[in-house]
Amino acid sequence: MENKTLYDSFNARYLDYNEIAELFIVNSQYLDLIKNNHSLLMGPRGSGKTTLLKMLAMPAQYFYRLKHPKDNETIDPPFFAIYIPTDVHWKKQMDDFEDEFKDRQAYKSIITRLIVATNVIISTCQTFIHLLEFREKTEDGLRKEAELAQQLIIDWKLKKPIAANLWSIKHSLLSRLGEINNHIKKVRTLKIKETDIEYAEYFYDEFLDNVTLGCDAFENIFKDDLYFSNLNFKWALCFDELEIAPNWLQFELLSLLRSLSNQKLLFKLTMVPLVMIDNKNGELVEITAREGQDFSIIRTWTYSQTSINNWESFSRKLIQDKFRRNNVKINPVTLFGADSLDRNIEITFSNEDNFKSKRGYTEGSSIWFLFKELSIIDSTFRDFLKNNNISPSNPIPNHEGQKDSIFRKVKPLALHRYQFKSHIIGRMRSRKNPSLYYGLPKLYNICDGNPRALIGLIDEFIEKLVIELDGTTKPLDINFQSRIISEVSKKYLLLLQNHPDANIPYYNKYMNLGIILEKIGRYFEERIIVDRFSMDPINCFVVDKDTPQEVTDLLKVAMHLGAIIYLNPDESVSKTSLVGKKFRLSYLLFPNYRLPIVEYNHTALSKILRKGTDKIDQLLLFETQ
Amino acid sequence: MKINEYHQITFENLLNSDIDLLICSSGYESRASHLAKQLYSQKIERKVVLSFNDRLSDLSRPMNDEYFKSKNFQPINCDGDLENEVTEFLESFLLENSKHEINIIVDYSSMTRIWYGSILKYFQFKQCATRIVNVIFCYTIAKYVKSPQKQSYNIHIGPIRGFTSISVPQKPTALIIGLGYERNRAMGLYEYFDGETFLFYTDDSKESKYSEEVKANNSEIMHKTKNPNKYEYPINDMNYTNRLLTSLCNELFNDYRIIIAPCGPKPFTLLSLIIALRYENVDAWRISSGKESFSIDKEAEGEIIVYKVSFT
Repeated sequence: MENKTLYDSFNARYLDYNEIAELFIVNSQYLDLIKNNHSLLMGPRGSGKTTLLKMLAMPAQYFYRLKHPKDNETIDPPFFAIYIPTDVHWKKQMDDFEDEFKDRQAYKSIITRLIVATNVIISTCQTFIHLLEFREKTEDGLRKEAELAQQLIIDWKLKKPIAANLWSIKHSLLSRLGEINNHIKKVRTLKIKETDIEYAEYFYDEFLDNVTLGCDAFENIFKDDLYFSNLNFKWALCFDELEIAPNWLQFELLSLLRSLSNQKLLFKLTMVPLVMIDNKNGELVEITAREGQDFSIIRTWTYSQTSINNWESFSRKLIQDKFRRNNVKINPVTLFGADSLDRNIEITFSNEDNFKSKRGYTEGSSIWFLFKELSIIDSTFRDFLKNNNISPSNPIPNHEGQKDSIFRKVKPLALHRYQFKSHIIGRMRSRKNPSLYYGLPKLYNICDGNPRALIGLIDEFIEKLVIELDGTTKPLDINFQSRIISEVSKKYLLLLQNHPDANIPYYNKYMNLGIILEKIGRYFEERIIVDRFSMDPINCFVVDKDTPQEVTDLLKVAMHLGAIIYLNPDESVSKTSLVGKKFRLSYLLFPNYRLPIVEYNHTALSKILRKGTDKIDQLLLFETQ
Repeated sequence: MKINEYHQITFENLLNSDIDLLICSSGYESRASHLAKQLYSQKIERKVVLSFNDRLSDLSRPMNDEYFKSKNFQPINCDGDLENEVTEFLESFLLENSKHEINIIVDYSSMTRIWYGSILKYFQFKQCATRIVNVIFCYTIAKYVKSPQKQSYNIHIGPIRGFTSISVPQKPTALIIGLGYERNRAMGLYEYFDGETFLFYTDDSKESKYSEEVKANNSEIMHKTKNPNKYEYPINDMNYTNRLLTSLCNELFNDYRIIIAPCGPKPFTLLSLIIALRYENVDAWRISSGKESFSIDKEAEGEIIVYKVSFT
């Protein structure tokens, strides 16, 4: 793909299975997903959910084995996966239909359920096609396929005449959409009364019944087939991006996690980091299924030290692989270097007298210079040192305990404050302005567990690399890295501001997501970089009950897009919306506000929004005139 | 009825036609009354003006209202986001007019797409076996005006009702964007659909300043889109543009579900709506900032593009 940059660099949705298998790296999330239980795969957009789901499908398994014949790790799922897609194009069509026929509840319900059922059985048919695609074509095999097709024609009530093969069945199902659309046009233009509307029999089919019939037919016909021997004919319905599927479908599937009686079926569902489902009255509902008992949760973003460690390991492999495919012959660690603060501080103070390029916290070390210089230009930092019995003119730890409890902890804060205030000292001396964002594993962690963001970020660097004919290239200067990341951060914010879902009505005006994120980011920038120095600053927020509903609604969009990260996730399905939940901005937004890539303490969101004024709404609304 | 044929005609051809109905719109752009003035000496059976029910004092609105009133146009007050008044009027007009073949001129230069779209939809779905209705859409090209500097946000994004069909997400989306010169209007769409993007924008044959501004204000999406997916078209040759757009859709049908999102000049929007009506796998979508968009006067440059759509 040409000219691809952040957020359009990698999207598994429409890659073919061969391409997905080519790019796939086995990780702990995949190993959890192939377990023989219902799973809820939760994460923001771009965090790899579709890739994981599609890897369960038979063709992806086949191609993966071809490319990794020596891989002994068990990656085969103990079920056949039926991948069922959703997308925003479809969602908008369904929303428009539901809005048009909002006064005809029965008609609306029949048609939307039928469309969902049609999508599911097309996916089921496609799965059957895949399962039979890679086996040797024999007379017996073709006879069995025809027998299956004949059974499906009956079970799925397909219009005859129709050839007894799976491709004809798939084509017939797709043609059904034409009939459904004609039906809608007729009802619309002739203004037929709801009680007078006629329906073909298949209009009443339910997706679960159709799938069950189809899968039972497949098993009955192929259970003695050698190709499928040793398989228990279990099926996983893999619903992707369920959060944009109709509300009733989300509720039914989540309820089925507990109540499904068919032992042959599993659900693998992908959703946003926190699920909220409305009932018909707009109230949030609980589901009876319980995590751990009825389903397992697999989270695809970094929310714990274990997930961060797993992500770093995965990122190393991902980037190595990316470099290999782009013929870049350099190790990422060599290219980017470590994200050590000492590296940066050394560059900043290397011209100083007495600078000894020492590590640690002794006199003449890089940290010593940083603390000393910062205390000159930042009186609040000087006060902080004094209050901790550290001499501003000779900032060394008084005892061992202070190294960890103060010096190590304060280092990133001190560097960021110095960077902000160093223009003062820059006028007095010729000194480099320290860069803030570079090196590994910081470049991985900035992406918050999101492979698409990481690939997009690395693509930005690869685009600017000077690669020699032999594939080698020089290590990247930290200032260059920091500049690229800052540019990417700006672009990301602009993307969010212009996202089609980023605006919601507020009386006769509109609220924009970008404005809210900017408000939050600037608040933390002031607290950490500008205000009085604190060793325990805040850069996270809790959505409290005083947060306006419109802001909460936009934050749901932000969470889905990965612009805010759900911290300490203790719920998967919430009855209280986002209230009480803790978040921070995505690290990818942090460079816009010069924030260190670290999690600190939190505060109430309404307090952030109210800063500087009593009225939240006057800060947030935009008018375009 | 269904769309039978559609093609561009000259303004002179228009003058040689019998005109049963002229539909204009009265808004704040001075070009809103330009066509009516050009047709002043023509014999027209009936004249109506769709009057926006907001911005009554903006820019050239009072002048336009005065002109239409002085020429005995029947006013119909309408909300720019609603089609009811338009379709109700057409219904009553057809009932009153028993001619076998009817010629209707629509000046859509200052109309919302909801309005001129509703005219297309009305005749496309009208149950009327024995009549021919020729709807002649006229567009007055405007003199160049710099785009608004303040960015507006996209408020309405979604299918235009009646110009879409329900599909299933088994194939990717091909998004065809008709670029306009409003800054970053198309930007958010690129990442939204996870599909293949194609760009249509006017060439510099008519007004180079406009086409340069389109490219400058859409630089990000232009950069992201590969060159074979970019198409330039001349604003005043709708036959050529139609062939280009239809040909692309034909190429994409097998592998994609198609969305055309016209964000620029109205002639492109008109073609998008016609194609969406004719082909089931093509949706036309609305991308706009709605009522919050800026009021900018557009004066008539002189040329009128005329496009005839026949329904039988």
